Amino acid sequence: MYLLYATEEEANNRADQEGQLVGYKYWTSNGSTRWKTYPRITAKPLIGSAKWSLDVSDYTLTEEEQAATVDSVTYPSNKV
Amino acid sequence: MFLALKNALGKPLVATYKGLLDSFSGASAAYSLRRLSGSYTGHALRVRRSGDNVEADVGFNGGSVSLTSPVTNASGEPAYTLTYSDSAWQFTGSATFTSSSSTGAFVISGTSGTFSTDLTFSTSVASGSAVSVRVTVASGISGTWSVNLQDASGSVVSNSAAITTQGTKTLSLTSTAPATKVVISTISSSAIINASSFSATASEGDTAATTLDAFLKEGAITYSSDYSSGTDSWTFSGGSVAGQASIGGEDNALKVTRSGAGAFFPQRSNVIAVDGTYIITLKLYVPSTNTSGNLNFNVKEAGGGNTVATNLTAQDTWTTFTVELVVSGGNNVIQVTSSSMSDGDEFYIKDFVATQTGGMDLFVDTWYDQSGNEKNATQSTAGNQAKLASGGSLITTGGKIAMDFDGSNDFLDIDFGANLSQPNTVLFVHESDNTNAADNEFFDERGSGQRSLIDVGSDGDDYRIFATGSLFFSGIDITTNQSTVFTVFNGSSSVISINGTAATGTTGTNGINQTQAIAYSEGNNDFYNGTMQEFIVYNSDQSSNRTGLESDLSDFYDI
Repeated sequence: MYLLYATEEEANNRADQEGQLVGYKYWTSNGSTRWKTYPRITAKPLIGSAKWSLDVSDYTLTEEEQAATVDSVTYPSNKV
Repeated sequence: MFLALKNALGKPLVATYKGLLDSFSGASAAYSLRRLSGSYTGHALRVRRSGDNVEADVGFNGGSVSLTSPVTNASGEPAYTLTYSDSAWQFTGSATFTSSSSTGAFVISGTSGTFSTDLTFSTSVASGSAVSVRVTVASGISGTWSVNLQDASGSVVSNSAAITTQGTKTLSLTSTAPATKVVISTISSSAIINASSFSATASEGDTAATTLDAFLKEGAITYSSDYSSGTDSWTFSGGSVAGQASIGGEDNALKVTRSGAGAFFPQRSNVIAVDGTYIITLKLYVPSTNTSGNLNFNVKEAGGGNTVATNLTAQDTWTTFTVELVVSGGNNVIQVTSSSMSDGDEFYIKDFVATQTGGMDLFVDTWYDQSGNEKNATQSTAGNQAKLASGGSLITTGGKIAMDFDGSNDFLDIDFGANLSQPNTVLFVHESDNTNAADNEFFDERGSGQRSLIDVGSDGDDYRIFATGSLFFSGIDITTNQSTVFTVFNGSSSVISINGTAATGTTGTNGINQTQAIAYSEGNNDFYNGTMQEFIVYNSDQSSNRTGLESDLSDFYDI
């Protein structure tokens, strides 16, 4: 389950928000773990210009966010 | 291994540890769950404990990581604090400085100039103490800088390597003498630097454990709330929740109200985890004004998991319960439930504490570089971290500790600081969970441009190295057995050797990218599914040392 964002910064901000809610030690002391999941760019925008995806399967979502989720995304490939 | 030396009189001398890097020096990066060098005195790993997310560095107990390995530098409150002021920062050029008391961060913004500064410890940091400094250099910014510890006279007692890359760096410095201040020195560039989270850490912190075994078994508070700040993210789709309610002599209780007849099931996520055992304490209050009079309240894992009854017997009084819940269903949501309630019925919760007492996992946050080059392999995203322990037990392969990559999204990032031109040698020890090509991606770029890839090729069973051309190891297919892999990227003199059997050929001319990943390939966003115990990179052709290196690996891991 993913949320889509137009910019990496917007997606980062949401990832930061969840990381703080969970209480990863990056946010409270001298820890290194900062995020639960981190944004990844998709192969192409799925909705409008939104091409930055954030896996929110295990996030605490608002009703508005819940309604905006998509089930799958496609990432760019450089297969050889 | 330790060598017991004796002098001419046969008296034993101090034992000297000798590792792989002492025999085969010059690695660009070296990661292992055993100690690779007698001169390496750092840690093996930084791990994150499931449940409470407490982090700590894990060292070597002699030559390897084990349950008796020392645990230090735990997250938590620093033993030392830093005092600082604007005047401590000195600039030459055009730059501005702001600080945030809420985060302890310093933000320096400038278009040009040279600046240096010092931050003074409120108490002198003892010799041997570890100091962690996190500094972020914004994207688009270039420059060279370093961080050091100084004593009262201004002499440097610990210094980081020169750092030129952008992004966030967490630097670990160990003072060799009592230190009084941290200095960020000589930054010459157009710069925006966010110097945050300065802390000096000692044994105080989120854990009292001093060994890995104790750290793994220590009770971890995964969640607690007295609801003084409100609902604390509790929700109830069958009615409503409200914080800061007053009832029965308690203020700031969580009030739960049923809307229409049905069950109570207020819940909160991120409290429990699969396979965990939890002791949960909470206080409940049910008013006699309820229509139903139901007192059958439970603590429950949402989604059909285990349920524990509280055996509440009285209305109009606060009752404290302690229950043990074993999580089985893989749901991270806890509920407090009761069935057959009437429209408008209420109950109240106070002082909810969940403590995990068993089944903890450990995840790898950092695999420290033992080469001396400080090219640590890192993963700051919890969902992408490999496991070191599962369900309360260390993961092993061939009887020795290993880390497990899930094949779905686990990997470790390395920033070499610059591309590594050919020739390059990469060797590692692994055991795959299956032989699928898509589940055996060992090493690939994370940036763009230069690309050196180690994986199982799309033919489905042969090991492969790729650097604009592919060299397959034809003859021995990948197996699910523990294996040594030795590769050389060197044009027409490239090598793949599996468990000591080598093939040579041509693999193109690309180097290793500055930003590489272990257990990932950008090819089809595939990952590695299996365990890994050692991973070493040389920016040189180690073909002449191949049999020696392979023997070292196979002897230690008994492959």
